[in-house]
This record gives sequence, structure tokens and C-alpha cells, in this order.
Amino acid sequence: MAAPLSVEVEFGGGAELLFDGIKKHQVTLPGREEPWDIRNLLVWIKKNLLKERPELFIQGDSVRPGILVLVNDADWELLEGAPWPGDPAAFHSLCLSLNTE
Amino acid sequence: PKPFLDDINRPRSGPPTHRCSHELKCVKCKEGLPVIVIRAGDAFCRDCFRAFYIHKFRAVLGKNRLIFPGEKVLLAWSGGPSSSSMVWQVLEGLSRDSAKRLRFVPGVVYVDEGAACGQSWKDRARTLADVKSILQTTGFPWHIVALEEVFALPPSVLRCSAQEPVGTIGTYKVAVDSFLQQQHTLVAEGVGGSPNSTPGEEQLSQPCTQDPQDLAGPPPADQTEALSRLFDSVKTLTAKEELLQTLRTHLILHMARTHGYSKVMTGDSCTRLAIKLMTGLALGRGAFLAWDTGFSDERHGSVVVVRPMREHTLKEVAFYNRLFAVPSVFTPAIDTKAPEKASIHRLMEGFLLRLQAQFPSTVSTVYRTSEKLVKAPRDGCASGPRCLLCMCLLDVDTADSATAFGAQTQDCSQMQSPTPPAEAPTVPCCSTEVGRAQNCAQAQLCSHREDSRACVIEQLCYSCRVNMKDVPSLDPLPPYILAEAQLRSQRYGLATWLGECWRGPSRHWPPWGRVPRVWLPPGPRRRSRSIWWRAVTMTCTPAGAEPGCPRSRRARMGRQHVIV
Repeated sequence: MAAPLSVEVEFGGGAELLFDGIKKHQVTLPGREEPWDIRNLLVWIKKNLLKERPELFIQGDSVRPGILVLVNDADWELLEGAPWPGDPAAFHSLCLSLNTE
Repeated sequence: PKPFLDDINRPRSGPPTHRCSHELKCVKCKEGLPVIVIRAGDAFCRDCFRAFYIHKFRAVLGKNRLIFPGEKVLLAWSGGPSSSSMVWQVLEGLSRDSAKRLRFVPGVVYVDEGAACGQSWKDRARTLADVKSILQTTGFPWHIVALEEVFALPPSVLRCSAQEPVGTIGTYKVAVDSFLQQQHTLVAEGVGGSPNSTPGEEQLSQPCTQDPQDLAGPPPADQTEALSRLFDSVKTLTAKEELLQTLRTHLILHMARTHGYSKVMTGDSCTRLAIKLMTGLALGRGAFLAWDTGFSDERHGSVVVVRPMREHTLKEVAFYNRLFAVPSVFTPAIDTKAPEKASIHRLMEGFLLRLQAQFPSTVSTVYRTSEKLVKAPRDGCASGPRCLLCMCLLDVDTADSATAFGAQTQDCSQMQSPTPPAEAPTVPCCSTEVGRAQNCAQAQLCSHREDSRACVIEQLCYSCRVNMKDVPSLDPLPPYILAEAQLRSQRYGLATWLGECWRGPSRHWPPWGRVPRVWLPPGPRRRSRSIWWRAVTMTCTPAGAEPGCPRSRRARMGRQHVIV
């Protein structure tokens, strides 16, 4: 049973528009049976933080193509397989529908 | 070549699961801890990524050798990540040691498009304050212009000014050598302060210049209202985006010409250009893709647009900006938060980004294809009438009605807006009962409006015509467009009249329609193509109208004298 986790979540590149314009959020994730994962984090964000237009951020159980996921300022792709230890996560949008060039 | 089959990866819905992060090392230095995965699996550490990124920027500039030392270059900054990164690269490049530093003289321009996006002046002022503070830190001469200033542009902005001859590699080398020699001489004579300073730097160290129209206050309210009215009247988001891009280009061009810049750098990234290429195909700009997506765009004559960021993907740009704290300003655009099917641009972006997520070589493949596009002039004629708005060589031949393409373009040119008289709020409808004289005048006004619309439409290329279909009335357009359209129409009217005086009546109007633009089938065999070509021109051109047949130089020169 994983204890509640306090993490820093950041949104950039225009993604913050979907979160009331606030870039940095300090959130407390509730405890759950399995350890927290980025995917679970996404589901939690969609339920609790996302204010509007979920389709611009999430697609299925992952981020929409065009949104970069960074864990501790490093690419999410480098992390996979290894569990997410609660490091600060950032979601950066590359989509031009959320920002200019 | 089989690009798609070469490096097709298995489609994946998430990151690959075969690596452990603590075992992974940077592919370049083999030591550092990787922070980013580029392309299909190359992990780079922070320092190697930085070197790679900067090297790409310098390599693109160096490979093309278009920017001569001491040349004034205008950086078009939108506040977004790619253009911010570009400005930052230029800043860093200018401050390096003298052997490798960049040698041109930059200025920055920012276009405030808030009025087109429906923003209030308060929000715009806040954004502008952030913009100003960033511009001041760069130390370059900067200009902030509001998009409303398109209403004050002169018609000359649409004219292709005299093109300077493109320098060869030899010319470039000579220019660089003489520049370096000049620098050494200055240092030897004790002029110009430190050995690293150049004549250009003195300009840089001056306090930032500003336009006479200072943006301390909002632009004139009537201009802002006119701009809102224009964009509100456009029916689709696609047409709005295209119109915005056109107006922005004209404005930046005017700024460059007024302040003596011979080059404009835009921050279009690889991803952005791939999307632009696909969007261009969908919008009917296939003939102009080489100019729209290539490194350099010389269609404006004396001012050349270059795209130094065209080899950087958006992911690399975003990472670089984040890792190295490149400042940027978020400005909502005309399509911010638009759903995916709102416009062709958004649709293409969604399509390419989704495909890229599964097949990481998508964007680079599209980019490599765009590199192969050649800017060969059609039918061997490099000069000819240009589109009024996008300034590309016209690709429309209204005389060629035999093909489906010709029939479509005729439809476009003959298409009138659905209800021209009823829509204009300031002009009473034709059905008013005030007086016959007024009715007469209204009827005349209506037909005049239709004429002026036709006059503008027939001077546009195919994709601009299709765009104008979504603009019900041309009245809200900035006056310089309508004025230039009138002028060109009169000029060609005069030319035709003179031509008729010389040769008798001609069936073809406008005169550029005489040059047959026949689509030749693709194929390498020149001989069979020329036989086919001759057969086609003999059957479709009427007797007396000669353009397809080879003409003597004297005859051609004679015709050119008529066009004033």
C-alpha cells in the first residue's frame, strides 16, 4: 500500500491554459495499493486538475500526441520500465493549437 | 528510396520497454546521463544535446551561405518557443569568439496580433510589457508593430522589388574574406575599440530603437475595429489563418524594407514546416511548396526570408528552451484551444503528431521530401504576373478551360459573393423605396462592387482564390490590397488596349492568360514530350495567338514594350 505522495506537477508550452493558467501545481496524491505511475497520475490529473477540454491533453490512457512528458527534466521515454519515484513531472505542449511557433 | 520502410518502427502506444534507465548512457560521449531521446532512440546527455543543437543551427546557416557578413537581418519573433530559440541562438552566436561568431547585424520585430484574436487592450498591454522586457535583454534593435498597421500600408508593399543577383559561393567567400580584412584593418588603425567589435556592434550597443509610433497607448480604435470586422467576416478558421499569415508577412516585409533589412529570419521548425507542407497541399499551394517550406524564399525580391530553424524538431526546441531557460512569451493565437477539425491546419497538425508518436521518422521523412522540391520556373519563364496576396507566380490560366483544373479556376474567378448588396450594413438594400435615382445608384454600386471583387479575384493564385471564397465581402480588406488590385487591372487594361491597337482584337483576357500552361505528363523522354506539346498547342491555340510557338527574340521584345 503506497502512502500518499506529494509531487510537483508543471504544465508548459500552452498546456497551462487548460489548468486555469497556473503552471506549477503542488499536489498530494492519495495512497493506493500499487505504486504510483505516470499513467495513474494522468488519470488523476484528468479527474482532479483538468478544467476544460480533456481531449486537448489526454487521449485514451496516455497523453495526446504532441504533449511532452518530462520527469525530473528528462524525457519520459528514458524512464520507462522503471517505476516513477515521485519526481517532479512536467507536461509540455508542442501543439500549435495551444501556442504560436 | 523507400523512406517509410527503411526505419519504420513498430507502432507503440507508449515508450518502449526494453531499457533500464540506469544502464543508459549518452550515445555521443558515452558517459553522461541522458536527458532526451532524439529521433528513433538516440539518447543525449545535456551537454551533448546542447552542442548538437547549436551545431545544427550554425550548420544550416553555413551550408546555405546566403547571409553575408555585415548584412542586416530582421528576426521575426512571435514569442513562441521556436522563434525565441532562434533569437537566443543568434544572441549566443554573436557573442562567441571571433573565429566562429555570426557576422550579421540583427534586429527583432514582434507583431501584436491581439486584435485579430479578439483580445482586449488590457491583456495585450500586459503581453507587450513582457515582450518589451525580453526584447530589452537581447540588446538588439527591436520593433513592436500592431497588426492594425496593415491599414496604413502602401500598395508598394505588394510589388516585387528589384531582385539582387544571388551570390555564388565564390562571392560569399570573397565577401567573408574582405570583411575579415576590414576588421583587421580597423583593429590595426586603432579604430573601433576592442578587437572583437565590428561596425555592426556599435549599432547593437546603442539603446534599443523604437518606431515613431510608440506603443505606449493602444492603436487607433478605428483600425482595431476594422481589423476585428475583417476577421469576423471571414467564414472559416482556415481562411482566417491564411489571411492572418498573409497580412503578417506583408507587415514584416514592410518593416524590413523601411528599416533597410535585406533578410528576414523566421522560426519555423521542422515539425512546423512538415505540417505546413501537408497543409499547403490541401490548400492548393502545391506549386509553391518549395518557396513556402524551403530554407530561403526569394519571392519578395529584395527581402529574402530564411528559415534557420528548419532542421530542429519541436521536441528539441522545447527541451532546449526548458533546459537552458530561454525566455518566451505565451501569446494566444487565433486558433488557441480550437478543436481538431476546426481548420485544415489543426487537422494536419493532429494527423502528423499522431503519426509521429507511432512512427518517429514521420516528420523527418516529410522534411526530407520538402528538401527535394525544386524552384524551377514553369514553362521556362521566370518572370510573369504574380499573385496579389502571396506574391507567387500565378499558376492560373483562365484560357485553359479544357482541363478540370481550368474549369475549376474559372468557377472561382466567376464566383460572386452570395448576397453582396444585402450584407453591407452601411449601404441600403437595393429594394429601398427612397427614389429611383437612388435605386439606380445602388444598382450601379452593386455592380461596381462585383466588378471590383472580380478584379481582385482574377489577380490571385488558385489557393488565394479558394481562400477568398470564405471572405464574403472584400470591403473590409486593408485599402492597400484593393488599391494595388485596381492599379494592376488598369495597367493591364492599358496594355491590352495598346496591344489591340497594334495587332487587332484578341480573344484572350487577361493577357497573361495567353501563355498556355499545359500540364505535361511526367516523363523523361524530351523528344516525345516536345512532339506532344507541339500537337497540343497547334490544336488549342487559335490562329494568330501565337504564344506556344517559339518566337523570335525581336517579336518577344516588342511585346514586352507594351507592358508598362
